[in-house]
Amino acid sequence: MISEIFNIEFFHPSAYYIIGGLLIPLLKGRIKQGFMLLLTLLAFFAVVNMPLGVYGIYEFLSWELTFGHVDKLSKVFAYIFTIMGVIGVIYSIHVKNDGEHLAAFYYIGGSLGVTFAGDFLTLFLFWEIMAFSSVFLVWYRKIPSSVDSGFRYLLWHVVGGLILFAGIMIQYSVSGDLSIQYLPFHGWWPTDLQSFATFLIMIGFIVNAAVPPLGAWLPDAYPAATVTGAVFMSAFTTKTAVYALIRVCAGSEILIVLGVVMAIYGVVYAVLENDVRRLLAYHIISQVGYMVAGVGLGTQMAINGVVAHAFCHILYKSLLFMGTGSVLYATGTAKLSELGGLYRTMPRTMIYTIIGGLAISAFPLFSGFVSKSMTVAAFGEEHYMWAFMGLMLASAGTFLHTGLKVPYFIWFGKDRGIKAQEPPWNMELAMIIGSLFCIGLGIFYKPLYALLPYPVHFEPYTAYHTWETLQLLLFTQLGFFLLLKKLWCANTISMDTDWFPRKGAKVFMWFINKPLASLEYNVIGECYEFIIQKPILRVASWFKWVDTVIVDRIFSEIANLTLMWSRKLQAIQSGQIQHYAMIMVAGVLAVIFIGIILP
Amino acid sequence: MENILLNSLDFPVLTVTTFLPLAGALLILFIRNEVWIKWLALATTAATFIVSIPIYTHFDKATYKMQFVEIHPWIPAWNISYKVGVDGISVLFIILVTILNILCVSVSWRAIQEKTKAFFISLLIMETAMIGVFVSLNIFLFYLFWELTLIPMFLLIGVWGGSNRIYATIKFVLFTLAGSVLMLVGIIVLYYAGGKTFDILELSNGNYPPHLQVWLFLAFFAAFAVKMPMFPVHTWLPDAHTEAPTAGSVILAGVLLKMGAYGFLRFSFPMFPFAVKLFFIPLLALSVTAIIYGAYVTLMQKDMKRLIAYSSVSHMGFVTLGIFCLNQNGIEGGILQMINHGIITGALFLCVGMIYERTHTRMIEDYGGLFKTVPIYVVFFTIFSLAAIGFPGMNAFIGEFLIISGAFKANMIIAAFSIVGVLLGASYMVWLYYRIALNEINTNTKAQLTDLDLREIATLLPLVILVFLIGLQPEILLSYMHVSVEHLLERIHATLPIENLPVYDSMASFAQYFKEIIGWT
Amino acid sequence: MDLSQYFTSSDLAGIAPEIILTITALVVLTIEMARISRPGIMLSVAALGLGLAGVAIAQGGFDDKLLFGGMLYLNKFSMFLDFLYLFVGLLTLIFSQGYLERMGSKSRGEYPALILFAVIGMMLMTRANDLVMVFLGLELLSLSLYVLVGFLRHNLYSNESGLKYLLLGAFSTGFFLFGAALTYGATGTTNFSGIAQAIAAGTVLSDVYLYLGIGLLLTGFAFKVALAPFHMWSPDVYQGAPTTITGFLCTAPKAAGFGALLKVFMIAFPETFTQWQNLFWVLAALTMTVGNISALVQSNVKRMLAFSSVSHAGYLVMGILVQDMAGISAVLFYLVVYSVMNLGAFAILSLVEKDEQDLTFRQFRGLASRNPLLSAAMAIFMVSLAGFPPTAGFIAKYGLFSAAIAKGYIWLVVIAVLNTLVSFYYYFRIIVNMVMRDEKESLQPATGLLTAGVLALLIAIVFILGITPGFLLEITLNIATAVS
Repeated sequence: MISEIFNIEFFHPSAYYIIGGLLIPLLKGRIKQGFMLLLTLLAFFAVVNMPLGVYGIYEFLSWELTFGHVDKLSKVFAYIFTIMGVIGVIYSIHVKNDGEHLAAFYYIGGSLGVTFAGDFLTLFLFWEIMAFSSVFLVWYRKIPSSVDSGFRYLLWHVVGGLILFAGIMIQYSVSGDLSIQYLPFHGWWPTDLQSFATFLIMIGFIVNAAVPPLGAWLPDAYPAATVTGAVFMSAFTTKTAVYALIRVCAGSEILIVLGVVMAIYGVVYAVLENDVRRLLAYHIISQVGYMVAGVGLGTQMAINGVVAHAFCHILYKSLLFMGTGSVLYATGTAKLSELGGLYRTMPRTMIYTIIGGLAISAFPLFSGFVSKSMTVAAFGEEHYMWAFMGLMLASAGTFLHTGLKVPYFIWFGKDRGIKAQEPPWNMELAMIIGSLFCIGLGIFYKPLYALLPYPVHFEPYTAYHTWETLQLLLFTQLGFFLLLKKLWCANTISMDTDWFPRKGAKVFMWFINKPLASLEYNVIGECYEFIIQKPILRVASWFKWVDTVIVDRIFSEIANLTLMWSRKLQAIQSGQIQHYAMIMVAGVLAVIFIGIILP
Repeated sequence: MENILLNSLDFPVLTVTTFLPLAGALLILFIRNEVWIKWLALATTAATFIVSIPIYTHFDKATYKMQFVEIHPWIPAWNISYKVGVDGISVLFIILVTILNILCVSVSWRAIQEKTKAFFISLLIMETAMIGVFVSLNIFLFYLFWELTLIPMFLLIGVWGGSNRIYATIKFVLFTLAGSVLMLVGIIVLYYAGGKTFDILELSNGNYPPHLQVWLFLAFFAAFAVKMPMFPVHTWLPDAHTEAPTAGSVILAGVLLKMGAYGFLRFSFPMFPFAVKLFFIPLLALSVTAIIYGAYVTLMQKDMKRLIAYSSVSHMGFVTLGIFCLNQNGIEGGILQMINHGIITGALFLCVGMIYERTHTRMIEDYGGLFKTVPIYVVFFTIFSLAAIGFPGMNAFIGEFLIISGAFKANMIIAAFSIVGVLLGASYMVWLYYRIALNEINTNTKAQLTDLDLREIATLLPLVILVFLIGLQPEILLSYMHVSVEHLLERIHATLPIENLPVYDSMASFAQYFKEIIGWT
Repeated sequence: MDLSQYFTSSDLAGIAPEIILTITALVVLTIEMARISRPGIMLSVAALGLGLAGVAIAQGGFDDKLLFGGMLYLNKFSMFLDFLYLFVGLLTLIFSQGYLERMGSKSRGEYPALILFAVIGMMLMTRANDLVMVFLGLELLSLSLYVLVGFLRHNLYSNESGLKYLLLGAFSTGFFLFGAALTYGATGTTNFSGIAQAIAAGTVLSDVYLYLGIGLLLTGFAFKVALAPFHMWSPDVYQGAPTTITGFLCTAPKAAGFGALLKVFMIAFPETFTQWQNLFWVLAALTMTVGNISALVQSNVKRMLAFSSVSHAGYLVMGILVQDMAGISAVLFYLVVYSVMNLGAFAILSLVEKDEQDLTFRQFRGLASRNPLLSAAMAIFMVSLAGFPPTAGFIAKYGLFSAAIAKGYIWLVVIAVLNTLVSFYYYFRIIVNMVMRDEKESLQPATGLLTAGVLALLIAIVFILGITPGFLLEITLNIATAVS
């Protein structure tokens, strides 16, 4: 088995993370840090010189598991995952807690395993490894709230994983093999068994892709994660899901709708958000919305766009998480309303964050532009105008909040004179690398396009695209500075804010407050309660009642009945000879009756 | 004689394996020093394990025939002979018994303070009885061992158990006995119906009239269903598990519950194929009911041992689901899952026992934050919890995967429900883990909690290894059963296919049938 | 004068055992009168007598003999039971050693003598080939038992039970005698084979008389072996009687009763048996159920065992009901095992019992921690009575069930096994109290080396018959084949 998986031309990169990771706790200090870095680099180069093909086939029971299914698609995702592994490990290399490192390594290894999985069983294996390792990135923050969100996060993924498992089982019973096939899902409801299987598998995927309302776990868990954990989490779970969606159900129309809804949903709730990391989490949803929509479209261009976007998104989103993470690390808070004027104390961090913000807002010459525009353009070509407009709108909102609001309130805004200094060298190095990627990909985008699964006939820097984008961005910027006062942040999570009424425009705020806010925080936010608390626990207590009061009672009643009869019989055993004699006589009569009369 | 392979080893391996613990028990009878007693018990169990190894090394996986068979006349007056042997279905349970018993002795080292001698004697007699059940090829012998398991267990629970032990132990024996006496009637009827023989193999080849099959199936079902335990006769289990000492719980969960399922495979399937197919859907439904019902009730438990006990109801539901699928995947998964459940639940009971020794409370709310206080312990607990959930790469996943894939072949709807069962299983286990390992540190027990010592780690480590070994290389175990299971399935499907079974009218034909029996003598 | 017209030397040789036992009894009484009585002497003399009787039986050879003009009919069946009586009598004597002193009873001589007379009576009952002979044996047995039950003069319970037994026994004897008379009236003879011939030849005066007769005879036996509803006397009597006598009472006389019953129905009424099957079915079901259910709530151990012996009688009736080779051999085997188990149990009770206080379950608490060996022995007997393998009790029960099912009485067997399920509860109550409840109760068991040895022997028998019952089964089987 070993020789099969790790043969010469194909060496599974997860092996570095999953097997090499085991050694981390044994090492100390600099050696450990060097070793971790080495592992990530080795994994990266393993991907670099990996020829296309199918490797690592392992006969397991009656099925053959494929650990190394390498095509252009899986390879490009492997690239970005391994690059992200390098950056993330650099960023978190100072962390003392080995458990956290181990969790991160298994998390990355899991996502790489999913990337190269050639059959559903392998995919499921690494899928679960991801879920169960990433939850520790949340738990290791070791504050009660994070323990709870981690628990919810895990349950979400267990549910999703089992839905996926059910789908796989049905798929297996239908088609009789486990290899990952291209099974697009058409229409809105499953019609036959095959489509039911696809449907379940797709649901399993989109739970991880954080499609609302199934994505409620994401804004719940990511802000609760550790500083470095959030960086990893922002990169892997959702993108792995996107990859899986491309592999299995590209071109399922239903995904377009979900994707557009996601994109807008994420932005809208980002508007309401005050905790920076939670805001960024909503932006992940929004950005993944683009990808899901693109997957739903399923044309070659759309897929290219999705892949490119995933590639860039991982980089700039992690850059933003690293930046805000450094702020959290330095100041101990990530609340916009408590921050401000840090440009004096943390200038370099500011620069990186702004680069990230520009990249996510698809500013020309930044990585977001070359990828997002391709996705959006794909919709334009297919004349999905409503989708096209929706996505444009979303990107405007993105710029408004990540490109402008966040930097403004953190770095400029009202100086609260917070004592802070630049983060440690390794964090900064990671951010530098990230920033370089963001700019580099924005300018030298050819190599990226070369990696994409399909040939690219798209040129981002046409006058039309550029102008269109700039126009959008400029108007947004204008609006921002006009409304600046009105976007002042209050330290709240739910949006019962008291500042806006004073400024008027009640209707707009009412709309944001009541329906939307309550929708998010009282319905979807409590989806966990609705899935776990209500149906399961309540039914469970009922079952327990049945078990003790009915099932068990029946048997004890039988026993009691016997004892009762026993006591009744004692009444006959009176001890009076005349009674005994009477009974004997009765017995004789009975004997005569049964023995003589009856026959 | 054509379907057995006589024991070719130079010593009667099965007999020795079976009765070695009994010999050890007799030896212990004459020892006063408690330390020596413990060491002798450990030595006996270890020796038994070593003796049982040749059964695996010399086992011929290519044949379904009974192997290492020994035949000696025993009670010629009733045509009863002492006949033992193993095939692919029973062979794995022997190693399960021998391994678990070593661990039981080890875990009782400090936990058992008074009446030590009696404890270890009961434990060893128990081992003999359990091995005997799995090796007997003669129903009379089988029944003898089957009943013999009751009394040591009765003592283990009743003497060294918890506060409510007497209620629990009486309940345990009454339930089990209620089933097995009905089986005794079934056995005797079978004896006459099968031409006055107790030989399991001859009886398995017999061809019995449908109505007799149905009634005999029900008689045996009574015994096996209680032992499994299947819903709704499971209520003895939580009490027995909760009150029993750790070793007792391990044996109960690890082996005793398996005897029921083994009975189905050894008797009901080959002897009453008609009845098995007649009750095909009801049995599947009953199993899935047990899965979901058990899981739900588990979710509500506040006592750790009770929680794990109820989870056994759910897990054994999976086992029955698997074996009643009547297809290769299902049955193999069922057998494998029995072994897995023995390992995992045994391990979980050991874990609970170990902290119970320290804190003397099993209530979940008394714990919390063990994650920080006793890291080594939590590592083991995490592994076993994941295994119980059925995490890929660990043993239970393979079992559940086989079972559920078998179930999907057998009946879609049932299988879908079983998936819900898996979900519930995951949630109660994760929730338990969350409440015990994470949460805030609980101060009332923090003081007594010390991390595992070497003996305890040594006790748990073999199980961890097994969890991963089976999880990654299930073929190690599955290869033993393939041929036997195939043969069993051939035997079952030789009868009518399920769809065109005749409609069954019970009482009249039954009465008429027994007139025939009267005629035979 | 010439006695040969009355009986021949072979007749005398046939009844040699009875003669020997009678002489022994008289010797014992003489020793008593001579005031040189020491328990040891008594015991050894009586034991010697019993032993010689056994030798005499063996000497007589095992072929069938018809003695005294068909009054006695010796066959393997009766001889097997003879040995059982002797065995039980001997053990009872041994266990009574010391027990009577502990109970503060002065007189000793008549005790062994009475037991010897009882043994003679039982031997006559199963050797008889004539209703009159059966009646003689029955009376000899009963009269000795009446005295033995009331033997502890100062003990009110003992006296009460003695009187109860006497009155109800007289009542049932009346039934028996009336039955015999009716049978005689119907068939013109009291001789078994004569009756059988009469019925076969159809020269029966009136079927009604005959059936009434059979019914009443049956009632008489039913009383003796305590079948419900004729069992009412047994709990009270068993509870009051000296414990060793209770042990004797619920083993040997039951064996004698069943033996005689079998013999009567096998030899005298084989044709008419078929119509009694329903009756036996009902008796069996009723007896075992009533016995078991009543035993559940008893607080007094002796009383519980009394009811348990009722239920065992119920199981035995199944064997009678079957009445074929398997059935008879099962009955014989069961009688042996049952006697062993019960004697052992009562012996232990007699060791732990105190005078003038009834023996409750509660008193057994914590016995295991103070006296592990004794409680282990008790536990083994209880397990065997409950019919768990690998003890003899299981094999014995199995034999009966198997025989019954072979005849198709499946529902009866189902009732029986459910009864064994119930019986588990009260038998194991003692174990629970001895082993699982640790309260300091004032049970100070007496110890006797001889008793201990005999107990060990009984335990050995329980296990040997439980694990390798083969040899005894062979014996019972070929006896059964011989007689049926």
